[in-house]
Amino acid sequence: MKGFLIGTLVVCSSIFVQAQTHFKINATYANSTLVLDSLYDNTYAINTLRFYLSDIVLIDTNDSVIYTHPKRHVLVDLKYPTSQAVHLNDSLFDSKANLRLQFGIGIDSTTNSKGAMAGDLDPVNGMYWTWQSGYINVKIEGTKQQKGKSEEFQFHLGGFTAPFNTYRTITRPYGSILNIKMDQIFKQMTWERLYIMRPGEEAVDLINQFCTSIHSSL
Amino acid sequence: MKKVVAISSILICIASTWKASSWPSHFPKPLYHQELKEATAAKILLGRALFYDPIFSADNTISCASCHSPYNAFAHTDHKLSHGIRDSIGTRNAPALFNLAWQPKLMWDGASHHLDMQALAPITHPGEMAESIENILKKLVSSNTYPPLFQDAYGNDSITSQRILKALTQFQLTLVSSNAKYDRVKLNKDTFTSQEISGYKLYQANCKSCHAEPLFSTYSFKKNGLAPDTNNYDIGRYNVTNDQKDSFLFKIPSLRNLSYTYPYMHDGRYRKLREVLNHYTSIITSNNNLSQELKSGISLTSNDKADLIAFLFTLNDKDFIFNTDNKFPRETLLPQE
Repeated sequence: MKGFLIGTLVVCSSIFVQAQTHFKINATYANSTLVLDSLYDNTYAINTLRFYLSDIVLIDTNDSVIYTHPKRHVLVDLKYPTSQAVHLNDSLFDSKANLRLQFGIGIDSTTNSKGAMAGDLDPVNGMYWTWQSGYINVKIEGTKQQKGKSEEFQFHLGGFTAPFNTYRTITRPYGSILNIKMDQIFKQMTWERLYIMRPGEEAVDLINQFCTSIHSSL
Repeated sequence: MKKVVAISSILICIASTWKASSWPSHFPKPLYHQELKEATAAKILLGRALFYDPIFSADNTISCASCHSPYNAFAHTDHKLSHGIRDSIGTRNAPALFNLAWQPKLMWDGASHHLDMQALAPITHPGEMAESIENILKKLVSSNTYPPLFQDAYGNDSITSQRILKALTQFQLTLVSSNAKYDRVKLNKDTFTSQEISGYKLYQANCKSCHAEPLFSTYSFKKNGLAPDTNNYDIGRYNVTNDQKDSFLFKIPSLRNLSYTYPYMHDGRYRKLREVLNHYTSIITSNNNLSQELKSGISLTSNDKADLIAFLFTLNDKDFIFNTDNKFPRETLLPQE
C-alpha cells in the first residue's frame, strides 16, 4: 500500500514536472508568417533563414532565473519548422506572471574558441566559416528585384571579437511566440551591399537590426 | 585477473599518451591541455592516416602532406606559393607545422584560432582541396580503411566531422621539434662552437624580441617592412580583423628548421637566409610599414651574417625531420603493399 502511494506520488510529480510548454520563434513579413521563397512587396524573397539561440533562460519579477534550457545552443532553420519550437520543461512559469525570456542570438566567444563540436554546432550545418574561425550567428539569403533584375543577397552575420562582436543577449516579455519582423529589417537596411560575408561594421549593424526586430507576442 | 587487466590497461594508457605529453623541460607549458589529456595512440594514428590521405580533396589528389611535407618540417619548399588541386596556385607559402601546441592562432594571418577548425580552410578552399566535409564523411564511411580506425580511436565506428577534426589535431600536436643542437646545448648535452656563440649573441641582440626562445617565435603578428607583393597585394591580418591597423601584419614564423623550410616569408619571396638577413639590414626605418621592434634598425656586417646563420643552423632538428612516427603510415594506408 505504502509502495503504491509512493509510486502514485512519483508518477504524479513527474507528470507535474514534465508539464511542457514551448515558445515558437517565427519570422513574419507584414504581420503574416514568412513563407520561404515567396515574393514580398514585389521585391524580396528569402530562401534561407538560419540562426542560433543560446543560453535560453526564464527570469521572474525578482530577477531570478527560474528555468535554464538544457541545451546551450539551438540551431533554428526555417526550412525545418520543428526547429522553430523551443520546448521549455518547467511547471513553475505557467503560474507566474510577467516572466521574461532571455537568450543569446548567435554563439558566444568562449564557445567559439573551443575546438570541433557536434550536433547543432557541427560545421556540416553550414553555420561555420571555413576560411577563418568562427560561427555564423545569423544567415539570411535570398533575392531582391532591382530595376527588373533579380539579384542575390547573402548576409552571413558573425564575428566574436571586439570591435565586431555580433553575439547579442536579448530579453523579451515571455510569450508563446517571438516574431522576427523581416519587413522591419529590410526597410531599415540601406541595401548598399548585397553581400555581407565577414565580421565587420556592416555585420554589426545588421545584427543589431535583426535583434530589435524580434518582438514578443503575448 | 581483473587486476591484471586493469593494470595493463593503465599501462597501455600511459604508453599511448606519453608521447604527446612529453614536452621538453625547457619549453613553456603548452595550450591544448584537454586534447593532450585525451590523446591516445589510436587517435594519433587515425589523424596521421587522414593527414596523408588525398581522400580529403575533391579529386583525391591532394593531401595535407602535399603542402606540408615531413621532409621539410611540414612546410612546402621549391615553390614560392603553395599549389593545390588542379595546379591552382595559392597566395602564400604553406607554413611549417611543428610546435603547434604553443601557437594561440594559426595560419599566416591568424585566421584560425583552434587546430581542430583550421583544417576546414584548406579542405573547402576551391584552390586547395575543393572538398566538403559532407563528402569526406561519405568517402570515409565507404572506405575499408577508416571504420576500423575510428573504432580503435573512439570505441565505435561512427564517423563525424568532430572526430575527423579532433584526430587531425591529435596527430599535429605530436609534431614537436625540440631536439636541435640548440636544445641539446640548453640541456647541457652539447656545446656551441665559437662561431655559433657569436651568432647566438647577435641573435639575442637583434632577433629575440620577435623570435623568442625557446620556440623562436612569440607567434604574434608584425609588420616586417616587406614591400607588399605585387601579384596578390596580400594585406595579411587586416583580412581577418577588418581593422586597418592590422594591414600587412603576418605571423612571426619560428626560426627552427630553417634549412628545411625555404623559401622564406609569407609569400616565399626569398630562397636564401642571407636574402632574409639582407632585407632586415636594409629596412628603411622611417617606413610606416614597420613594427616597433624594427624601428631602430638592424646592422650586421657580412661576418656577422655568417655567424648568425651558423647559429640559426643549430636550430635544425634532424631528429624531427627523420622521425618515422610522423611519416606516411604505409602499413595503415597501403597494407597490401
